[in-house]
Amino acid sequence: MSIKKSVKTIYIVLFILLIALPLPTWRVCSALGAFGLDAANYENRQTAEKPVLTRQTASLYPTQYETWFDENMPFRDALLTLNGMLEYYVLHSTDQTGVLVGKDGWLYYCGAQANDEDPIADYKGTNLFMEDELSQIYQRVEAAKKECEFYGKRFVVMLVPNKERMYSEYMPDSYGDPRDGRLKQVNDFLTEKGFDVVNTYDALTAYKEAHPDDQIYRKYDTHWNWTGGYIAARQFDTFLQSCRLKEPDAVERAELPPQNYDLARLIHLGNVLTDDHETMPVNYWEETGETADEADPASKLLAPGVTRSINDTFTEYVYNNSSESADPRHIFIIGDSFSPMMTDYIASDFAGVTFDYYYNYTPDMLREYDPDVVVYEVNERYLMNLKRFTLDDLMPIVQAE
Amino acid sequence: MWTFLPASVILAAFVRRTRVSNILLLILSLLFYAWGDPGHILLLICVTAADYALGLLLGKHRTRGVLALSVVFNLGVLGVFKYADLLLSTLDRFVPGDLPRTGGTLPLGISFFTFSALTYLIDLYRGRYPAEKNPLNMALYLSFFPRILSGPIETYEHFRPQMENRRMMVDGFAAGLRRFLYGLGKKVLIADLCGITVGRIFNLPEQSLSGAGAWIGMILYTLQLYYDFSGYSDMAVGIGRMFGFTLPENFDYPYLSRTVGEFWRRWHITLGAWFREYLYIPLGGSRKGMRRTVRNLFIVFALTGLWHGADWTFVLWGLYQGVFVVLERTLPVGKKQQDGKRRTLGEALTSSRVIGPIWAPLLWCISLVLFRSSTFAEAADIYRCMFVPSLWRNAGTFLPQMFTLQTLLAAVFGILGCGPLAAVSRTCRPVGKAAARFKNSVAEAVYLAFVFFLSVLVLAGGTYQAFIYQRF
Repeated sequence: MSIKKSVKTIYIVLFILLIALPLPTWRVCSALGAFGLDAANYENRQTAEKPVLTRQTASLYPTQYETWFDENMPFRDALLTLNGMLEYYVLHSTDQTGVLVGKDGWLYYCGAQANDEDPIADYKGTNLFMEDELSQIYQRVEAAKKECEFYGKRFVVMLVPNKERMYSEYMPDSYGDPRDGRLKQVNDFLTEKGFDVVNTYDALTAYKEAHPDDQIYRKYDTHWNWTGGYIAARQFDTFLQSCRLKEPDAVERAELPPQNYDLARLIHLGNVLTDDHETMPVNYWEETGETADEADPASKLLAPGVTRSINDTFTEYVYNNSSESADPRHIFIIGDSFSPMMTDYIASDFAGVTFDYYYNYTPDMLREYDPDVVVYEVNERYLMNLKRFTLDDLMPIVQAE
Repeated sequence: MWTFLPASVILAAFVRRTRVSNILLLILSLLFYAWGDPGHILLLICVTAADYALGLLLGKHRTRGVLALSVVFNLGVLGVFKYADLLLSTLDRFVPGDLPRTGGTLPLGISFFTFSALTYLIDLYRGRYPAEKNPLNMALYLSFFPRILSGPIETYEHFRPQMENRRMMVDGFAAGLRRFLYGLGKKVLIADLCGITVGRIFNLPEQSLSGAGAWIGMILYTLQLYYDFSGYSDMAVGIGRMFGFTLPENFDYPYLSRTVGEFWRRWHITLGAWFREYLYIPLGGSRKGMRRTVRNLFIVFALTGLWHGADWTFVLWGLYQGVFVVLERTLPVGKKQQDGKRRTLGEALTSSRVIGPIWAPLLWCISLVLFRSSTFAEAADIYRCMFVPSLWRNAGTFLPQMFTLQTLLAAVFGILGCGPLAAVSRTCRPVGKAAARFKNSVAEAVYLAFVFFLSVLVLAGGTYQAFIYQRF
């Protein structure tokens, strides 16, 4: 059966528009910088370089070129954003492994990219440590504690719950309720063995129950927000019997501009999902006669007398507090990406706070800063790291293959 | 899709002379193959040259000896590159020591271009046409890029006239593009999306795989395989048509089959035709009594299995098909008819309203466990999950987590599109009329543009591999 002329014309036009023109159009638009085309790397990895064809690389050239082309395909960013929006807003799901779309658009992490993490297994309580693993953890933590005690320092383990556990009400129904998992197991185990443990789950849960409308974890991110960090900081400072931070209800809140959230970025909607309203506790220290300068908002972020320096790679934060009312102890925190939203607040209570990411920490730092209290802060999905934790060596991220 | 295809079409559109067009297509086909498998382009050229020479020899000396030489050469090439390691690993179990392996990679499309070459040589021996004198035509026949990787297997008798006499017409181009877009949608929007969940289910630890999970995984895999292969065939046929070639159909709604025998006349039609024409019939077909027929059927299906993959699981898979084809032909069922004979199972299934429609698809689905598994042990585990009720674990919390809404939609459309819709349009007149009106309409073109757009979105999504931690 012959096709009508009008239909034939449509197919010719479709071929031209959809198959023949995209690449040259993209090249021209890129060269002219037209339409503000976004070519930024949101994938947090090294993308492929355009291969060069030589005799030596000839056999690999096609594969390398296709990899490069896939990562630089015409209008890729727009296509990825559209695809992400279609999946998120229309289908309420995503095909990106590692992200789960929950109720009301909440995003959760279900990936396994590093450190043997498995947040869903944590949630379901299906990955409890075996006896020999608990024994390994005990040996590691005991060694750290003894080393600290030898130098007159105190060693504390700080546990931080996964967002899946804290905001389980937005998890898809098929996942059920959270079960007791590694977080409780490790907390109970270490506490029984006499170690100093601060389980922030307790304070966070209590606050959330008392203030159901005050969100303490980010909707599109794996982390707690500044309020969650503040609550954890208060719990920690109270544990060390040196908390002058105001009650959360009494604290002023500063509006924060839209952030770029890690889970949103995983589904390529980092520039789209920015509506998670977040505030930051400021002016949070108890009145000591030293007040912030009302005319300078920045002065509300750090307590009076506190200075902060951050290294170029944002892996080390050093605080000094010259306030006479500050606790004279120096705190050294080895932790993960939850700590930076806590350390500003802890710094207001202590003479010095240093924070290093666990994969950046080296024993030299302990010698350099000579703290009084050493803290190992660990998120629930990284509890496997306790099996290899040591104060004597580097602890790099173990990437999944 | 955005570079090679438009460049090829535009170049071909400007060439009027068929001979020049053939040369252009040959160059493009060799470039296409070299791009996909640079390590074996020389193999393709050498095999082509050898088959061309064998063809000339066969044309001059039409003897069984030359035919045997041609067959042995082509099957030898296939055997060395595809089956040598299987043979060596099998012998390893019986001989002391460790036999070496070839360790080579499988040349792309070798099963297809080998069978195409055999088609040419055997039909040449049969006197269907004179030997091809033009080596470039021979090369184009074997390497024609739309079909070299996964068929359809084209006979030389059908392809040759088109090499000599065809034109790239707007009609054919439009029809071809239409077909290509359907194929792309089938592959990307149904096959690949079903495949995501199939992968998730069968990557679960063994103790986590439930009976329901295994069945759902296999049903989805049944859809994935069909839409992947038929989608690819549609793209091949469509692209061929865009260049003025009419390639044979490879699928005819196989899941509407009522018997396994019928299934193999609707699934990978050109392969079934090849085995029938060049193996089953020369062995005697069904003309030498039931025993020989049964023997021939088992040989054909065992080799069909082996053709699909170099592993004994594939051979067993093929034999499984053979068992049911034989049963359908031979097993008497039901009461005696007026002629005193009982109907065969196949005849009963053809007229059965209940079992008939599910028999072949169900048996096919079950057989795909062997097709998909890399070892017998793996297949046995899945079969245990599927068929031993006491092993049906409660995996209620797992299954929904394996699915995304995309996969569910893909599965729904996949099930509707693999036969039920076609069956309804054939039996229900209003639906049939609506389908006929939709075909080749503006609405269909708009629909296909949407399908293409969605496919591109999904393809782009597949290239995005973000990490929550830095990997630099």
